[in-house]
Amino acid sequence: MKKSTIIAAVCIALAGVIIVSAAGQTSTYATFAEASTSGTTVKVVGELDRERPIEYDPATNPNYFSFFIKDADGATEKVVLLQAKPQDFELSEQIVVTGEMADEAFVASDVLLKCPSKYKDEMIALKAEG
Amino acid sequence: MTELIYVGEHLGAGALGRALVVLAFVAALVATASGIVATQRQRRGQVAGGWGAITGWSFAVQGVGIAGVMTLLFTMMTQHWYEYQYVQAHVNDDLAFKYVFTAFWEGQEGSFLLWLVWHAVLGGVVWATNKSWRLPVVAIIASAQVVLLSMLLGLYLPFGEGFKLGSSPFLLLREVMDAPIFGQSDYVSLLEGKGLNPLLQNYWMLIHPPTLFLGFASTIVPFAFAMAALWTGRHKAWLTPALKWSLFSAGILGIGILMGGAWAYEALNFGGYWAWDPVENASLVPWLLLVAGIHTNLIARATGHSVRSTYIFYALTFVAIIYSSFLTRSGILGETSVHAFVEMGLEAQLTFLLLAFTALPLVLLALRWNAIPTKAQEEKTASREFWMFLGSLVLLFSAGMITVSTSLPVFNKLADAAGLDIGHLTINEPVAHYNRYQLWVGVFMGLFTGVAQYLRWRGLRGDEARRTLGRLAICFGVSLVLALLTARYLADTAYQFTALAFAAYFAILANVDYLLTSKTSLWQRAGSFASHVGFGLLLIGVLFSGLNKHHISKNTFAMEGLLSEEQIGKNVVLVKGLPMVINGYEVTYLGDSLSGNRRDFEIGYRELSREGEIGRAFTLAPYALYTNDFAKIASMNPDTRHYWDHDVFTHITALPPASQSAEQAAAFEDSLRYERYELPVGASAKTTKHEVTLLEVNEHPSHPDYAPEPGDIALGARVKVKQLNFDSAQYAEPVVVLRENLVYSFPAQINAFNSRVQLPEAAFEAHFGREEALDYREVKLKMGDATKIGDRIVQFRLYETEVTNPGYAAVEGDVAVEAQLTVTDANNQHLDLAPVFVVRDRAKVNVKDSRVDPATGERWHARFASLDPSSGTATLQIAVEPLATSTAYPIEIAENASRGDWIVLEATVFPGINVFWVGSILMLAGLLISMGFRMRERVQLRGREAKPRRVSPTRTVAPTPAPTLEPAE
Repeated sequence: MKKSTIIAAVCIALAGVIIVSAAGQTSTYATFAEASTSGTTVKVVGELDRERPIEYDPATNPNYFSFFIKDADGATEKVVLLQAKPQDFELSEQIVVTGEMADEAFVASDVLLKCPSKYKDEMIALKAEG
Repeated sequence: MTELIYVGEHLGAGALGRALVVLAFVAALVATASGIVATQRQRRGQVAGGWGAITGWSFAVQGVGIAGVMTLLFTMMTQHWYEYQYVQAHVNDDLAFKYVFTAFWEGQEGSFLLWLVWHAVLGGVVWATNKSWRLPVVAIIASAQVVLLSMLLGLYLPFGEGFKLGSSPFLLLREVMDAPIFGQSDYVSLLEGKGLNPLLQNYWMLIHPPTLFLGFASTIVPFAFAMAALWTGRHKAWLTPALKWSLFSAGILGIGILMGGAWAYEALNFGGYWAWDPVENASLVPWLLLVAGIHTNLIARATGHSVRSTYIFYALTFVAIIYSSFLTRSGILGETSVHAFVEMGLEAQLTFLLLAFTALPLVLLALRWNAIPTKAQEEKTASREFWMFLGSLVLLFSAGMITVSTSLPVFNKLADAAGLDIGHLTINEPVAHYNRYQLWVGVFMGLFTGVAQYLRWRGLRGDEARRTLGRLAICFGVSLVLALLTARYLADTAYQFTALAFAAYFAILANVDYLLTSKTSLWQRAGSFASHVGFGLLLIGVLFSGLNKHHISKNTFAMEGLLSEEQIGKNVVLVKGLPMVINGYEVTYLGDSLSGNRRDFEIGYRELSREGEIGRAFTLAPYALYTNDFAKIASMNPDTRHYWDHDVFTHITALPPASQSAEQAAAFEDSLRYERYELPVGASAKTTKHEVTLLEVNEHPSHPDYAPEPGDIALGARVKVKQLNFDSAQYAEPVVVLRENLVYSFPAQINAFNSRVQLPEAAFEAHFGREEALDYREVKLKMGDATKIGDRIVQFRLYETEVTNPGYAAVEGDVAVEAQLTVTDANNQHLDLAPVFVVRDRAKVNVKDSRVDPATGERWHARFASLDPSSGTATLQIAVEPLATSTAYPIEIAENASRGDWIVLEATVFPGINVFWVGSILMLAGLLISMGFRMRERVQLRGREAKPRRVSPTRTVAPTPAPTLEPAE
């Protein structure tokens, strides 16, 4: 057999293995309801609930930050981040939290914020105009 | 209704700018078309003639047009013409000149211009240096310019609902948005710029974007050579010039990416140089493909194998560049990346660009596939080309995996468009995901790099094989031992890390061996050696800094048993002046100071050994940058102490509410319960916990947060606060300032007592009402003169320019003179007064002095109203205030003000991180050294060509193969 054939075969096999194994590391964005039944690490997209308290009291515990977000189904849950409060948190429009549902709250290991951009403001102004 | 006529707009600049964009666009079109015609004529053996000249000239016009647009837009930004949207969105009056550059390329349009201008420059260089290839290459570059320039046209096409072609950087603000302000004809004078995000006000942001975009832009050159070669059928001659350009491109692109990492590490606070963010990935993928292309290019030049692969890799590189622009500029990454651009309505055009420049190589490759020369015989297993090719395949795998993972948002969008309801796919733990696979890329790259260096083109001959195998085995063994030692040191037993360490050591040792034993020229060896050893060092650096990084600020003792290992936080609270011993260091928050809109912190570190001995000490200064209006913190910037073997990285994650933002400070102020006491100077009052004494009232007070300005009316009180049941006392100096009819209060915090003292606005009334009640007598005195007031002698002793009056706070540019007076009574008791006369900004101000006469209890007040310089006569005002009428001042104290002298700190140690930086720099420098070598080679070839002697086409001796001679034109 030619070497190039062997190499090609190995490459294809490797690609297959990688795809199968990597697929296990992806998931779809979950809601809080799905998060509480799945019991694994999931991502939840939501909006900050500004009516509920945003708590960060570093003098007591600098590694405890909690807030409430409303997911796609409209369910609101408390989220606890065991880190310092991110800068500009209150400005965020959309929040993606990665973590697991615990008994009383969703414990997040990571929080990604999408803040309104200055371009976006103008786009909104434009739309209002048109 | 009459139409408004606006004043103050610079409409000419916008018109000129649009005209220049159109000019450049048309010139690029002409250059493309004439370049195609000229190349086609050459292919048919005709003379390009005038078509060639048209291509050159129109490409030049295109370049001048783009340079003109850039210069114009930049000038508009330096001139603060805020009526233009781009200017208004990116600069403001306070922005330093150098950051206007940063602001320029912050936006989409500016960064497109940067890309365009580099394309134009690079096309010009190809035109000037390579006569044989310039027509087709420049035609292809010009075609890319056509598409890119169309993004800046800003034309509205009347198709369907109206299609916007491009987004002009010369739009007026009033064309972009609707606001009541545009109802005023003088709106321009009312505009303010938004300014530049303070995060980007960093020197890395000055140099990182131009370098990265030069890297981006330069990938078009190898691509254009590849397309030109496919087009004209010269499948061998292009390999040499393309190699030089791709070495340049990979070097510069790599440096650009690395600078981005350095910026992230130095200025951002995520604590690392690489986060696998989609935007970072998007620039890494083309680099990986380009490096793969360089290796197949070397193979193709030396052996004739892999010509097809070289075409494919260079085509893929450029497609990846466009795809990366598509990802970052279309707004599609919105949900996974923190720093993607938000959509600007260019998705359709970006998609077209992507499809067009994917279709071009596909069509050309399909047409020419069978004409591309290949070798019938396969590479030998023990040949350099075999292992190099495998290495290129690994790089392709790496690029493919990163692309697929980064493109999940694109798949989600496509699925939505196709109407599939499968939910949006996402990677749970992105960093872990990428690391898991890319680790093996590192392992294979390290191994193949090492093996390839031991071998020769076309395989080893005769007894060479045995000797080489022997050396290879030794290198293998030594690397294995080193890797096992490293694994022991790292205390991480995962076999993957040992494998990576092994591959890294193997790559380094094999390359050292190569440098010492190879018989090729030193120059040629140097580039390859530097790149590959650099790669090995990079892997070692990644391994050490990634695996052994640890948080100093992780307070393990305090949290033990309460939380699981990973939940122990990375942050600690440090109270000013109280040292904290954590993880091998004694850390102290020493203090902070405010200057401009930046608050600098001073954090003292002392290394502690396990036995408690004190080692090296150093201070770090992270800082918080406030927005220009001081409403909130714009960014927290870290500081890092570099040692050769490790870095100590420090940044502040949170501050007390009063320093955090205006909103939080206001909320904190609102929560305070102030009690008011009316106190004459010298009197005391008792609160529930403290005894408060007003010691002094001062018209020229100082406060850490108060910066005096001319015209201010300020009042400060010096207050002593003593705890009722203890002897300890603290002093506070609250200040209140009246500036342009606004009252600013600067309370004083007494952290030790959790208390806060402030001077309410009513203090002004008390103080100046009292001043009015005073009966000042004016006296004119020369130095040495004396006068009588009541039964006292007031003597003007001397002028003093070294002011002693504590009420005077010097401002730069002040001219200040103090009059030193002595009041003497019948019993020869003295009372000294020192009023000050100040000329500040051409205005005359004076600082009064007042003292209580201990004998009578009367208070003496003295002012130095004016000075006649010609005669040396001072006009002084003196008043005596009887004790009985002393005014009471309102002083307010809140005893529930929790302390505000702490910070929340995150501190991380990165071992071996400098090995990573050195390795990366060496790797990229190696690429540029190789480019230099190829350039020199070309100069030598030119010299050789000048002689009539021709190189025999049968000569095939390594190291550098003779150039394959093909007809030049």
